[in-house]
Amino acid sequence: MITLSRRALLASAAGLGAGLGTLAARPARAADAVSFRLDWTLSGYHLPYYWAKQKGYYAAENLDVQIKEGAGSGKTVALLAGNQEDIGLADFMFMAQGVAKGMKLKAIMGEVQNGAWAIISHADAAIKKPEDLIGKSVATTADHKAMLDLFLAINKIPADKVTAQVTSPATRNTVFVNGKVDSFISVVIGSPLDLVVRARQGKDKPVYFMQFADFGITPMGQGVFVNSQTLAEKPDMLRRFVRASAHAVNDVARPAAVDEAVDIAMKLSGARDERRDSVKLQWEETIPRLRTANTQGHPYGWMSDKDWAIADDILVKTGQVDKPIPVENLYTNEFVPTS
Amino acid sequence: MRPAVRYVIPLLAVVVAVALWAALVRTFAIPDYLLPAPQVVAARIAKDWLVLWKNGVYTLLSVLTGFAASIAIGVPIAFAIVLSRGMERITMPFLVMSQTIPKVAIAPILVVWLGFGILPKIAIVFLISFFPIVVSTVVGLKSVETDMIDLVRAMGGSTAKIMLRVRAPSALPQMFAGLKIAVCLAVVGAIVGEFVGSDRGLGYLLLTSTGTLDGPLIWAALIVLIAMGMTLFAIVSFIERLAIPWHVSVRLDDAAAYQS
Repeated sequence: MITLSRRALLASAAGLGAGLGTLAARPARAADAVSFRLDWTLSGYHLPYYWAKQKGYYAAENLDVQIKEGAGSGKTVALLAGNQEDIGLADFMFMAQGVAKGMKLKAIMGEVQNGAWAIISHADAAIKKPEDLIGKSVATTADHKAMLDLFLAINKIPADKVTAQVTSPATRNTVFVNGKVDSFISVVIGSPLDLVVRARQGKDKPVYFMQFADFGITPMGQGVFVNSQTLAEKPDMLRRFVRASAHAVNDVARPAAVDEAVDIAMKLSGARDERRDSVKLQWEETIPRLRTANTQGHPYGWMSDKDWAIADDILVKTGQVDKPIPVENLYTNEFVPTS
Repeated sequence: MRPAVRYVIPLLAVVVAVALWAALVRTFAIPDYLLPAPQVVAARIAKDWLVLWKNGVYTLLSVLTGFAASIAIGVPIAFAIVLSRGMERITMPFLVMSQTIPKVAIAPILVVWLGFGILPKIAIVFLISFFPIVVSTVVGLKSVETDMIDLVRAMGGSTAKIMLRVRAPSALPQMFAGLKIAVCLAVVGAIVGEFVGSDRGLGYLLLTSTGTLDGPLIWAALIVLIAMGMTLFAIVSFIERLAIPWHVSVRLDDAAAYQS
C-alpha cells in the first residue's frame, strides 16, 4: 500500500501542471535550425526559398532555415554527400551522377523539371542546328562537358569536329562575349540570361539559344535533395521544409508576385542591383519549366518516374553509369504535399 | 652497402605510405570518388596510359617552355639588376608586384587576352617561376666576397670579366636553389593555366574527371603530375651536381662521413 503524503501529492500535481504548461507552450520552443545550400549565387529559381523565409512559411513550420549560396551543383552535391548541410539544391543530373558513384543522396522535391540546356551563340553567327557546330568552338565548364558530349553523340556529330574548350565558370561567358569561342553550353535559366538582358540594354550583341529540348534532350533540372541519413533521421523536418517551399513555389509562380519575389531575394541574398533584371528574367523563364508533360496536374515539386527514367537514360548514354539506377533510389515524392 | 641505404630507405618509405593509404581506404570503406585505393589508381593508369601520356606531354611542353623562358629572361634581368643600381630601382617594384598578384586571379584575364592555345599557359608558368630565379640569382651575384672583386679589379679585370669569372660562378649555388623552386612552381603554373581554359593537358584531365566524380582518373592524373614534378626536380638537381661539384651542398651529399 502506497501512502502519499500531502506534500508529495502537491508536488506531483505541481509537476503535472508544469508538464501541461510545457505542452501548451510548445510552439515557443526553439525552431529547428536547418542549413540549406543552394547551387549558385542568386538565380531565378532560388526565389521561392527566399520568399518562404521572408513570408514566414518556414517559421510557421517551426524551421529556422539558413539559406547559403553555392559554387556549382557539383560542390553542393559533395557537401551533402559529406553530410555538411541538412538540405541542398542542385541540378538533379549531378545528384544522380553522385548516386551512381556511391553517394547516399535522394531528391525530395523537383523544382525545375525540364533542365532546359542550350548552346548559346551570337545571333549574327547563330548555331541553330547540331550540324552548325561542325568546325566551331564551344566553351564549357568541366561539369557540363558530359552534357555537350551527349548532345553531340545523340545528334551524330563527330566529337573531333567540334572544339570543346573547358573553362572555369567565371571565364566562360567572358571568352564568349570577347569572341575567343563561337559558343558555349549552359543551362538556359542561369547566367546566359544576363547576356540577353545586356543585349536588351544595348551593351552586347544579341544571342541565339539552340535549345536541347528541341533536339530530344530533356534532363531533370534543379531541385531539393538530402543525404539519406537526414532522410532517415529527420523525416518530419523534411516534410515541413518541402511543405513550406512548395507553398512558396505556388505563390511565386503567379505573375503578380514576381516583382515582389525578386525584391525579397535581392535583399536577402545581397545580390548586386544590376542583376535584378536578369534574375527576374531567369524566374520568368523558369515558371514554364516547373512541370513537364508527365507532371501536369500534380502539385509543384511532384516528380514522375518517366522524367527520372529519361534522366537515367542520359546518364547511361554519357557513360556516367553502366546500367540505369533504379529510379526509386533517386527520388521520393513522399514529402511533397498531395494537394 | 651505401647505395643500398641511399635508395632502399626512401623506397621503403614510399612502400609504407602506399600500404597505409590502401589500409586506410579499406578500413574506413572510403568510396572511390573521395579516395580510391592505390591498386584502383594503378589499374586506371595502366588502362588509360595513352590518355595520360598525351595530356602529360602537352602539360610538360608548357612547363618546359615557360621554365626556359623564365631562365632566358630572368637571369639577364638579374645580371642587369646587379650591374646597375638604377636598373634595380626601376625593375624591382614591378618584379615584386608581379609576384603579389595571385596567378589564379590573373589567369582568366590571360585567357581572355591570349585565347585558348598554349600561350596563356606558358605565360602563367613564366610569371610564376621567373621570380625565384631572378631573386636567387641576384642574391647569388651580390654575395661574392668583396675582397675577391677588389683583387681582380686591382689586377686589371674589367667589370664584364668580374661578372663572368667571379660573380657568375659563385652565384651558381644560389641560382640552382632558385631553379629548383622555380621548376616545381612551373608545374603548378601549367595546371593553373589549364584550369582556366583548355582542351587538353593534365589540368584539363583533372577538371573533367572532377566534373564527372571520376576519382580513380583524378588520382591517376595527380600521380602523373607528381611524377613529372619530381623528375624535373631531379633533373635540375642532377645538372646542379655537374655544374657545381665543388660546392659544399653537393660535397656533403656525397660524403657519407658527414651525414651521421
